[in-house]
Amino acid sequence: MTLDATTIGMPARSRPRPGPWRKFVRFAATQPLGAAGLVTVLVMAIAGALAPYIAPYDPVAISFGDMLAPPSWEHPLGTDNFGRDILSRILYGARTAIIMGLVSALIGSTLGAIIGVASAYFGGVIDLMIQRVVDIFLSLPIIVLALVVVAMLGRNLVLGFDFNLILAISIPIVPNVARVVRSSALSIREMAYIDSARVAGYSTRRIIFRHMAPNLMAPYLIMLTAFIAQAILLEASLSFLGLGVTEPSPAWGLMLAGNAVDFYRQAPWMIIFPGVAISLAVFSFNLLGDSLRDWLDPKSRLR
Amino acid sequence: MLTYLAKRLLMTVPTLLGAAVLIFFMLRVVPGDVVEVKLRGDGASITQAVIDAERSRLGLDKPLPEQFASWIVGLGKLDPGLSMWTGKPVVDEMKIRLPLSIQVAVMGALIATLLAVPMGTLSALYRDSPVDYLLRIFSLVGLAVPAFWFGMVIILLLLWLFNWLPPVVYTPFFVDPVANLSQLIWPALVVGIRYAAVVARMVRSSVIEVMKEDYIRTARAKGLAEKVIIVRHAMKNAMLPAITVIGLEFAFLMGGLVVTEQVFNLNGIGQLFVQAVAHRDFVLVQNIVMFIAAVFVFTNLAVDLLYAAFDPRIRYR
Amino acid sequence: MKKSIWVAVGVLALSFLGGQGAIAQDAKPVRGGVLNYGVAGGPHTLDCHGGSSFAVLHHLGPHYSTLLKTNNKNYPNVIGDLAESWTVSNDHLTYTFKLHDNVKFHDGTTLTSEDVRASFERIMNPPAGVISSWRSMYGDVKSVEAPDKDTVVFRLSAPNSGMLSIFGSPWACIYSAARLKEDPRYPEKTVMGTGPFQLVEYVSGSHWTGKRFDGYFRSGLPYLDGFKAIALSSTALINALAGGQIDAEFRGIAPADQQRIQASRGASIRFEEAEGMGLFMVSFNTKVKPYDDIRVRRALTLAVDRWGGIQPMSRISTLKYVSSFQRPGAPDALPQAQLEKLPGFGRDIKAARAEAKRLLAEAGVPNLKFTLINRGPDMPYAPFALYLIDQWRQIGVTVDQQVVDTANWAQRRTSGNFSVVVDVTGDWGEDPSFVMARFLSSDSSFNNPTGFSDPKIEELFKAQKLEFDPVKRKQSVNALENYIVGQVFTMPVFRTVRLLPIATKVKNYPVVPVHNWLGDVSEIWLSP
Repeated sequence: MTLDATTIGMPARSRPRPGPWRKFVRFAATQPLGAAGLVTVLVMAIAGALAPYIAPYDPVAISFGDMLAPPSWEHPLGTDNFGRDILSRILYGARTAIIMGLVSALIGSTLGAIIGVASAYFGGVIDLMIQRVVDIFLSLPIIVLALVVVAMLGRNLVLGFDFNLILAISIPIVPNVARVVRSSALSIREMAYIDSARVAGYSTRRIIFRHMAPNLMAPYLIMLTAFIAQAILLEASLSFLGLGVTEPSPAWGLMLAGNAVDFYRQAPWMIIFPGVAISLAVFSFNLLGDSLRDWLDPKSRLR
Repeated sequence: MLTYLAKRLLMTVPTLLGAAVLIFFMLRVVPGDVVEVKLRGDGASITQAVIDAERSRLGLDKPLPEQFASWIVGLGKLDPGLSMWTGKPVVDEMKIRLPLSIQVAVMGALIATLLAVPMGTLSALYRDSPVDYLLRIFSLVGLAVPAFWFGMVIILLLLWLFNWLPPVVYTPFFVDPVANLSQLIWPALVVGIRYAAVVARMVRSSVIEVMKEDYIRTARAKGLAEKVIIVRHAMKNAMLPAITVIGLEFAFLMGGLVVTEQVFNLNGIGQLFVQAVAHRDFVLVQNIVMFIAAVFVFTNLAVDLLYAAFDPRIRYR
Repeated sequence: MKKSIWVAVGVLALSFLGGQGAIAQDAKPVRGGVLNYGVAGGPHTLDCHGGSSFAVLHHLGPHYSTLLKTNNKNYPNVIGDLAESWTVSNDHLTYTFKLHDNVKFHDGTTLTSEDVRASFERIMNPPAGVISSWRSMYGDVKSVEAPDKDTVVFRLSAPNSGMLSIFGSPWACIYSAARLKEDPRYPEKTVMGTGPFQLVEYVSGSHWTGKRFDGYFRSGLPYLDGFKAIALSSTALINALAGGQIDAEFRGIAPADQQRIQASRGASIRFEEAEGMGLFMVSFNTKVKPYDDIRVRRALTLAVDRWGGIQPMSRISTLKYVSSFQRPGAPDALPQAQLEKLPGFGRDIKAARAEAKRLLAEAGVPNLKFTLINRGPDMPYAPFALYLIDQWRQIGVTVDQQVVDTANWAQRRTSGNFSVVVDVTGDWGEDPSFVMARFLSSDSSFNNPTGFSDPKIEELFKAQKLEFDPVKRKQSVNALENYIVGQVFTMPVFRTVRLLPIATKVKNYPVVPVHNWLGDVSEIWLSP
């Protein structure tokens, strides 16, 4: 919803809110690219979620008789060097990618947002200390940090997903989000209605959750989509390096790792499809994020 | 200005020290150590006595704070220590590999700038036109394609179509420029295209912002030719945020190098880092991470100083 | 699809035959040229005595000589390198070696027996700060003396039928006694030996070049002007072979790589193979229930169809042979009839699996579940584990794989932090006295992670060590092998093939099973 002179100061709940379908239609109309991105993402997510039902084969079933088969009716995307159906592995891989990407980005962004808001709200020494720590983590490139954390934590399967890997991917996200949210929160904090809320005696919790947070939703959502894309890419890169998802779990990066490259002449489909899948997923989330930013950012509407 | 510089410089110390503590203790939690990998990794039958002797020789049996202290003191004396894997000085191991990584990074940055500035500007000036959409999609694709896959595809295409591979051994540019460039142009391209995507987006939004400014309107009202307006007034001011992004992303490039060097088998800092982690060569990993952190911190500092130099409001915060 | 596999097999067969033809022609060696080869790793030390990985010897090998070396034309026997001849006393306690004279070090000094004595002394009693990885192999050597400048005498405290092979270890490089006296750690910093090549340049992570040593004691050798060893990751290695930038690799590649390289290089490359030294096995932690019960361990080895699985495995990985602890072609290997009687090595897989299910039920764990610790991401660990898991599934055992990197794997294995772990051997030689030493009881072994202890193993091991008659020794070794395979604390499954890509212009490199030893580089020549 828009933040303008008429709506600032009103508690979040009493503003008129259009229904979700209306919002989506408006979004699609003004941001066609973003809508396309959203649809693609949803398709991937649903495909991934339904993978156990729609995948034609078991993604880890080895079939030595069927190795390196080109795309055909039986195997629409071909098979790999173990005779595993690539389409099924891509579908299950979508599940892995989107869930790991989503959960890591959610954990990282939420934690980062909380830290950012707290830092901005309390200010003073607390802010300084938190900022120092954030800076320390920010001084390390994402993949370097993730790599070391992965090496530290080993594997920990929860509901079939490596939770330690999720943690490793979310950790570098936290400081990035914290920094951005902090600067947004700082600018909100300076606004008059926060002061008046404080003077009126509202508790800290109430101010943060009912007044500041709703206005931080925009940067938060934008960062979230951007980091889901980053997380998917990071997980693929780590799996490629052999440090992320491990055999026999299907994951797009893993499908490209190891000696998959050796089969590029006999079975180029082994290399093409996983790469396209990763690119498509990241592309769609970025598209969505970009369009969200254009749509939610009030400044850009003053055209 | 000087006090700002001094203040910022002072703030880098606790950041770097914190990073040192962080990486040191994180590594020590990692299961496995360099001795086992070195001596038993290949399936050789080595006795426990030898393992213990090597561990002792590397100082791995000393208490952690002592190991940390000797490392930090060494850093102060500009002696980062000896690699636990080869026994050679860390400085030597890094010295050999740094030129390659820096060259790829610089080449990548050049490619990125040459691509991104015109792309972003055009995109901004012809906003919402097909050109804009095309260029935006191009930069989104550049961001989306995983670097390792892109690199893999390039190599395989070269092999398949031309039966040709880039040279496998690194020759410095001044020794043999042809060999040098034919090896490094490909990773530079992979790194540069992603870099270009990020910068192009920044340039685009920055130019859009600048074109909305009042002084542009004034210039138009004065009757100046559009081209003059763009080049003389808009670009100058749009470049500042663009330069900051170029600078910041350069540091991020270090992360991208890790994967790219693996794919292209380049003997650079990124590959050294991955190998060192696999080997559990704590000393080498610590020092590489500190080096990267220092590059980050000082690049950020340089960029902030640039901003402060151009935008006086920041200095007086 | 199947058709193209046959075409590939045909191409392989032809290339192999073509390679054979080239060797049979036996042209005269030509002097000159530089050999470019790839190594999938850098040396972790410059001191042979402290090394344990093939990557070390693939770089250091051309620069040093050893007392005895592997006879690559009559494997696995040993032949003299620095030693011109030797005698062994009747009681097998004294080994006397006569050295070649006129052997020069790269710095011009002449080798004497004192250098040999000092080098072995360093291996057996390393001074402070020196890591001697192979010290325990020389446990039976009481002393080494240099009575005159051409003679070295080793006195043993107990007979050891593998001692002569042990003297052929490629790790026992001979250093200069004078330099050792100045600095016992000099080999870690300087490469200076009596080998056919001198070190020219070593750029860490990139390449290592050597040039002919004109003072090499074998006149006329080496034929090559020099060599260049290039450090490459496994994928880059295959690319470089395919692209023609390197002409050989001496550790071994996978069949899929072979096809790729063949497709790119055609007739300019050949592939030679020998049985390899990489044995892939599964170790059980016998201190953890229910692996302390031999019935459970027996069941798990019975379930794996070795003979049926080796065919497909050999197509997608470097695993090509069904093997027990000894290489199938080894002089002391179990005869086929005896091998097939061992649990897991029988031909009737149906009967074996039925027996396995029965044993599991009897032991009280009919639906066993466990986590297999595997190592990654290298080959062939992944296909190996996948195959095992598939096989165990067929007797109702559910296995989940946890892949960890090498450092993690090595630590878990050593510290016993596993129930079932994928294990591997990579010995530098074949003699049972050190190949089998790792299967001695946990408390006395070099490398037995299973926690299993049984004095009978020590007894059988000692028996074969004291047996010098070849026929009797083989029987003794067989008895030992039969026993330890039967106890199933470690179960051997598949063995690798040493498949070497060698450019057709590279001549005179006979391929032997051991991959740690680089081979005799002095005899290689390049056809113009």
